[in-house]
Amino acid sequence: MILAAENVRKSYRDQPILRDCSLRASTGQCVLVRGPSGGGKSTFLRILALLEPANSGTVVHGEQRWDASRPCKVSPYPFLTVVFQQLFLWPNLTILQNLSIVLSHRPNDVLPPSSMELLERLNIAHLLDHRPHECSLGQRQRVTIARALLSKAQFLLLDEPSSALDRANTSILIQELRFARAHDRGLLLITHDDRAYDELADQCFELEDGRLQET
Amino acid sequence: MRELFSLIVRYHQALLSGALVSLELAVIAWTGGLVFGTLLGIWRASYGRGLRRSSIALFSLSASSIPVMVYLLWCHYPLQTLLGISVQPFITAAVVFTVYNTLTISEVVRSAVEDLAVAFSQVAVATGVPRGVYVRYIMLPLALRAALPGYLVSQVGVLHMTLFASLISVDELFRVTQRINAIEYNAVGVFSLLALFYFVLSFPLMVSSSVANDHLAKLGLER
Repeated sequence: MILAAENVRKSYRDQPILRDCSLRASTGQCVLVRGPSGGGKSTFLRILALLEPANSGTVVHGEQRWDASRPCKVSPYPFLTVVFQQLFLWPNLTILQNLSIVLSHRPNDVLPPSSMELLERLNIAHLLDHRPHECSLGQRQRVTIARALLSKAQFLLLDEPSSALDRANTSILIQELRFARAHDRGLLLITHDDRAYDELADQCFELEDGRLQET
Repeated sequence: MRELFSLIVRYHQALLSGALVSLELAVIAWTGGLVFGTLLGIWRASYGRGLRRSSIALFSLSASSIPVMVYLLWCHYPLQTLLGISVQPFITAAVVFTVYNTLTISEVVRSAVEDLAVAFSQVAVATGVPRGVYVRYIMLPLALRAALPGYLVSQVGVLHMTLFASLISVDELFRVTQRINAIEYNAVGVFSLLALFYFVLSFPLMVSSSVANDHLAKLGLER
């Protein structure tokens, strides 16, 4: 399975953010996109996920090709899912409900043992009855990562997934991502300067001045 | 204090009947406004598009630009003359207050739904949560919570609005107290009673609105 962007262009108020950006990732592979803050990485990720239109270009999800310049009303799931930098857990639901509604589309289902094991490994199993505002930023970040890992998506797009994690939790996250990659899931990681993922990455790109270049 | 108590004892039946009429009007407008206003607000935020959306917004803004008292008088006298019908003042007042409250609540709900972070729905899209599940478990509860403080404050306004019904001869509390004052010549006592009635009903709503706002701040949804 392939996730690709072909010649994606995007401008805000005549200011080019992305200039002919192309990238290709396969399942079982980890692609790292690095670049300075405000450089358009998150915009690129949102365009790849069909959540925001570009000015031109094409996005490829497996067999499907999408004109990136057209607003798309189709859910990218289960081809891919996204971990947003701002997390966006639903504040009216508990952590369990935030997970359950994604996994079973019902808010009060019991999580299967395999899911509980992942939550244990991420040190968030004790938070199931808490609401997001009762958790720390790092805990909320791990919940959104768990939400993505527990989903059936073939590609995980992660925007600064360890920005609020300490070193120990970042190591745990990398282990889980390595496990996901080993199980033939594709990873697209976006980070501004974090070197923690270097050993995980199969391909590295640098997004600077709107241009995406393999490094 | 003794004076107030004495007024209550002597006119308790008239006061009670006036208070009940005021409350009936308020409850009708609250209930109708809550049901129709919520539905209209959600519809406006979710499905009202293009010309339809602009027309409803224009109608709502125009309708809110005219004082409710003018509607009340207009619906009671000229409209009924034009249509050649005669409707009981209580029904006219109940309908006018309900329509007015429906428009007010629809605006509160519409802006609450539209102000919800777009990202909440995008997370649902990106995680494969179906639209119906998102609306039922996430959008509606969040929007209604966000709308609650504004809703409570506007309902205090509706309660106070019932005073205008006296202008078309509805025997609500204000009209009753005016009549008692005409007998007693005790404006301080009579109108203090009126103030007390509205205070007892309005103050808890205002406090609830403030508490709801504090709760929303914790969830990051304060308005």
